[in-house]
Amino acid sequence: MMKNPIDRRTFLKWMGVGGTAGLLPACTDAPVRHLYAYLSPAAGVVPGVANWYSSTCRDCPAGCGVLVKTREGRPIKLEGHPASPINRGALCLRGQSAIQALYDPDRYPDPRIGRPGHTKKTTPEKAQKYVAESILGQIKPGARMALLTGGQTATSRWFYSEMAARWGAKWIAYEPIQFSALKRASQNLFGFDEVPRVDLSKADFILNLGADLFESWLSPVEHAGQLAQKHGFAHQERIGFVCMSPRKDLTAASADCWISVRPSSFGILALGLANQLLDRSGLNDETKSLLAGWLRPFTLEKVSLQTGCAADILMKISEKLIAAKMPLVLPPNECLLGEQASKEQEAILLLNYILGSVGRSVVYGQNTFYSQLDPAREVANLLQAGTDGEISTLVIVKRDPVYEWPDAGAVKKALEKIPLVVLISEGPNETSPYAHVVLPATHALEAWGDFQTRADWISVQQPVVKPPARQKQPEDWLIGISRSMAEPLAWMDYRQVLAQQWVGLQQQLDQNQSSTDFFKQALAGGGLKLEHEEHPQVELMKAELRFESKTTQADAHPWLLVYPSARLYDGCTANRPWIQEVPDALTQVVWDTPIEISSELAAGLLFQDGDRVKVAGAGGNLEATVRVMPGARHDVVAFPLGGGKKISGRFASGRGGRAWSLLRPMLDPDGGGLVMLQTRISLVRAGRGSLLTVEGDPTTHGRPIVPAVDLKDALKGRGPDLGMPGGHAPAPAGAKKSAMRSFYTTHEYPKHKWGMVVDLDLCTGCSACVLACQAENNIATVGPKQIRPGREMHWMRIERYWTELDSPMGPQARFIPIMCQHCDNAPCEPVCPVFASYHTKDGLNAQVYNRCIGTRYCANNCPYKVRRFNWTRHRWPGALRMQLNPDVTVRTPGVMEKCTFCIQRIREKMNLASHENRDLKSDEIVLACVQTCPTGALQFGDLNRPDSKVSRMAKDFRAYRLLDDYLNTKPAVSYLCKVNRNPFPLLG
Amino acid sequence: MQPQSYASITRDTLETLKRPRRTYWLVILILLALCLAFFAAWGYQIHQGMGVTGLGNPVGWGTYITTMVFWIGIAHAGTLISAILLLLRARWRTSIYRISEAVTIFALATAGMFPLLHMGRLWVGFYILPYPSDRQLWPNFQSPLVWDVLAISTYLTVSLMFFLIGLIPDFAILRDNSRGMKKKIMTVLAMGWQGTARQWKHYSAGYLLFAALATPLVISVHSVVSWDFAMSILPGWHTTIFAPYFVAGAILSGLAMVMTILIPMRKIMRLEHIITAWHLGSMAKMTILVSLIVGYAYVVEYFIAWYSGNSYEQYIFSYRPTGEYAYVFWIMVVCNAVMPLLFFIQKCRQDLRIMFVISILINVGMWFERYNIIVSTLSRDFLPFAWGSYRMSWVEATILIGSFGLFFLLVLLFVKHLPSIAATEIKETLTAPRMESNEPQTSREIAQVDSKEIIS
Repeated sequence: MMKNPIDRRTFLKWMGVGGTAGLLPACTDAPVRHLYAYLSPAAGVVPGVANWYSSTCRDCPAGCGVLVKTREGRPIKLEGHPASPINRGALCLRGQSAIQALYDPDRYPDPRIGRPGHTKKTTPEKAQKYVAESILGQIKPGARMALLTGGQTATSRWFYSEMAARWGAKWIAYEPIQFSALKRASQNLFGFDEVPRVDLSKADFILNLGADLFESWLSPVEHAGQLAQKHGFAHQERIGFVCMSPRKDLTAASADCWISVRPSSFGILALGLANQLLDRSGLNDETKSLLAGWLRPFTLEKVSLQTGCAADILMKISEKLIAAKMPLVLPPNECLLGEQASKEQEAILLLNYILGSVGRSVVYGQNTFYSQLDPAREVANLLQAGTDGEISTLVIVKRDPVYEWPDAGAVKKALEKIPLVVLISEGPNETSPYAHVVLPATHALEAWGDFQTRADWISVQQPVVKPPARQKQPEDWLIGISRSMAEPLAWMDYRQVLAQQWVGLQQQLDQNQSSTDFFKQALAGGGLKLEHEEHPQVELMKAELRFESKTTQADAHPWLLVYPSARLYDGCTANRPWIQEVPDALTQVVWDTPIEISSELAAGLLFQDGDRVKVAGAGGNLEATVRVMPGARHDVVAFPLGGGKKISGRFASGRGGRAWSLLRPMLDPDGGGLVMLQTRISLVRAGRGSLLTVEGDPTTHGRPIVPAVDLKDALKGRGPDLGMPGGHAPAPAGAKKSAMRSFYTTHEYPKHKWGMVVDLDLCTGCSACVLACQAENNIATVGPKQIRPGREMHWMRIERYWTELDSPMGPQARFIPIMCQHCDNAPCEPVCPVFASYHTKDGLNAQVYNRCIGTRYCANNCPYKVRRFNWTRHRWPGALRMQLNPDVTVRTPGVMEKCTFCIQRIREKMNLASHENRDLKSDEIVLACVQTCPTGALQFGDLNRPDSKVSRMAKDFRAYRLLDDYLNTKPAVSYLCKVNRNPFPLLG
Repeated sequence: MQPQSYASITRDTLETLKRPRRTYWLVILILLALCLAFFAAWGYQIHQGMGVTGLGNPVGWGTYITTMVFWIGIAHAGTLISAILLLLRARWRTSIYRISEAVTIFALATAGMFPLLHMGRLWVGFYILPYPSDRQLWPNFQSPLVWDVLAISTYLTVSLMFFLIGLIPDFAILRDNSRGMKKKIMTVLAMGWQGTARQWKHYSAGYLLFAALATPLVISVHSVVSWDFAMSILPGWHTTIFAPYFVAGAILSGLAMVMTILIPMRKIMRLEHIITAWHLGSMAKMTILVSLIVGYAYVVEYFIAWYSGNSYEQYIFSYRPTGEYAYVFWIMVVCNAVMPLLFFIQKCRQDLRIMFVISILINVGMWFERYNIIVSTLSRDFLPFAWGSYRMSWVEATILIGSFGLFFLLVLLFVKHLPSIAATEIKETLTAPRMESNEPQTSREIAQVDSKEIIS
């Protein structure tokens, strides 16, 4: 017998070695995860089918209604509630991002008690007991309790006042962004201690004095929609809309024209116009003569001198106001107002009164949020009282005074003097280290509530998911503390408070229904419509304004204009990676708060984009990155709020600078609000940094990317000029590109051909679509380090071009949302070696992720540069991964991805139609971006159907297809060009 | 100098294969380290994702594709010198064609790494091959990348066969002069070569045929590579001149690389009498011609951009010499279109130091030419807002340098294991008397002489 070279022992040895070698690579640090089948789903939950719950967005005081999409119990996306009269189905970018606050990985899971800065984890019961005992133990004569919250309305307002009364506490409802001067002015002029609601739909000419309509002013989504309806060329009225302000903001970019005026000159401007219009107004003669007595000195020449705006322009504006039947002058965002804030607002309200818009489009008795806020003076008093040892306990509910009060040092000093500081907050904020007790709060989507920002609508808020750990809603914490103090309370939790209030409401309104049904109905409908009384005739209570017209001395130092941006607002959204990574529409900067300096000033100071500068203001100094803004005023430097947080979560910390630190807590002596336009600043170059921007070159190089037509041409039906300078001679008139002339066979679309139309005249650049797309399609954020090599993943971007650089009106910002154009002759398709990029039968450029080998040829060849490559493994830290849409693949490193026209939404509706054995309805499919657009600039539908909106719009005379004339890509996306309506021809 | 003879050439050839000096090992060690760095960087990239490169939006191709085209360009020298010049009966090729063929093979092997390197998902890269799958999935034959795969693999196959066939008589010499394992291998590779008249007849005919087959490949491969760019729609890429332009560029870089290798090699291996200044001078003259063609292509590109009236094209061609990558453009122009013209001066053609410097400069210039084409176009295409820029990352730099390590390692191993000069062909060019007086005239050598006469 032949000797076998492998004996039994050798065999076993090798098996041992081989087996171990085989197993070793399997030892990774990845935890073992088990998948359990969803055997018995909760009632009403069908796996694979979304449940929608209505609620209210609590990210700003506008109170938009939202629908929360949940899948298998997880909220995954927010959409505007179509029934809400405020936002009518749309939602802004902050609202879209609220879901990331729900899954914020830095949220507090447990209550913490202990020495400030060294608190330790504890149980809710212990924490409540601790607070209760401390409150009881600290009652001493002369010291009282205080409650600092954000704005409260409806039931929560009743609740907090009840709790404050019960504890004898001073309750301050404070928001840093508010309208205290406007409120004061209303009180002074008309006797209404409230902020008016402004209704743009009742105007036929709008003069906007510094209201940032799309970002933070009163009700951004509502106003954006109203303005679009009135102003958009696609709609019939096409009213005039002129912006006058010191900062060229997003609203100014959408206006007919922007006229730059000196900072702090709104008041004088309004009085000058009032003087011009007085004779033509419908006021009675007595009032007229009363006003005339002191208005006369405000001649246009004088006003022109003080505002820096040419007299003939003022003349033209006053003519426009006279010519209009329903003119409206918008009062500014108060961050644009100086020391005389209330007086300036008075002047503007007076102008509106003279124009007859008060009571028509400026309505009182309607705004229930801003009217009920306490001005900054109350906070200043609280801090003073705290420093003086007069406060025994301070309960802070979802506010961050150390961050949002200009003088952080004063706040810290006060907090250190207060024996018990209780912070109820979702996650760590700048105030956390000064709190003795930190109680974890729920997110708005985990809490009960109702919210009312206007008299005729109350929206409801319901929990759509359980809190992940020991979080409770703030009201429940207060109830818990109260119960630990052995106080008799009628309710166990806030839900019962709400129920009790709604029973009251039901008894007032509808006696026939049971109160449960009543509430359920309101829940289903997103809210409840209320009857309301408008204030009767508005009377002028005050006939004379004592307006000190200060002539500001020439000063080399520019004014600092601190403003709430669309992304960061007052800073509350800073810990959301989506928000940090969505480019600011004007600066196109991400993950930073740049200081915006005009080209003129930058040239004088030898600053460039990306320089680091030391900024010194009245209140302090900081370092910031320079962003040069073409066309901005040279005497104003703008800086957004919301940056410079240090310990408020991993995404917010270390991003940008804290604008508040440049300010002093200077109060308007009349209104008591914070004066935000208060300091000139000095700028010193500190070195070279780098600007985190996604912008390449902001000029079009004469390419027909964002063409516009003049209003007079548009009215004649003349379309945009798509010629290139020095390029090919345009095709002779009548020569049409036809499929017959194509060298290649064309695609056939037997049933559908999906397409999109973007009306650039309606697009404001607000970027809500970008976030909606990100939420819907599991688009990763890449973080600041990956921005510089250009690795952002957004499938949709808003390109901002500076056009008309030589125009006397200054450079104009034009926006164009660019997503995959789904070309018929798609350059990406033939170059893909493996058919990962291919054309579907319904006109989509599909991308097969698991076929993609990552050559990136398709992205190179895409003239629109909309393809996004996965350069790294993306991470969704903590619970953020819970937000991922289960209908959309999460892409792995090395594959190309891009806009698919939300193919999952298309297929869902197609399947539904096929189940129901019917054809798809026209415009039945709504994409994420289309759904959320506040102005209706985006439309999607079937180009094969002549009755669909898109096929009609694509034939509009304003329609053009991007680069199609040159490349013959035949995109499925059409753009309707912007209409230029400079209403003052003398300006060019 | 002693006149050359069959025996002296055999001796000299075998001399090059002797046990190397210590410096050789040192150099091999350095090159091995570079190779190791190459593969380590690659491993790191596979683990981390393509994010470790400097690529992004919109520049999706950078160093890797540049270097791929560069090495494929280098690979053109071999076939050009051995096949085309064989067909043209240029006698100066004989002493240098072997090394240039080796350069071809090794450059192609190096170049072949780069498409894999730049792929986002290497592990599914085989999707690009036309293999029968049960799902009936084929690659997209419209895609220039698939043409690339086919063209390069064809070129590699043909070059390798041409190389091995050319080596057969020399394998036989080695077989006759070695022992042990090496003898066994050489016996297989020599394919029973006896040097008989019949064998010479078939061999010569076959070799000529292969030369004829390889010649169009020189043109086609780099044309196909150029279509990776020309078939796109990007300004600066989408142009019909790319195929001849790239072929000329490839030949220029190939000639330069052969010079770069030969000049030190002849010195180190003491082959000055076989690879003479005349050979190198001839290459220099060839270089002038090709450089002029390349320079002409540069000018024509500008002419077309201007003449077309196409503002996208005009922009990119004004951007290249003035924009962020202007230094790349000017390196390219000076090294490829200006420096080689120095060869018009006879002194430069004769002074090997100058020639060596110029050859290095051409290599550098040709790398930057591809970088200029790829990076500048990608960074500035249609929508200005989406423009961006690119900077090589340390991983890419490591891989670029590592690829030189890989290439030169293969070259060095080659010169010590196989005859780097074609002994038999040089023998053909000898003038009488071809044999040393003390040498017995073997029947094999008589046959060699006879067969040469038969062919000519």
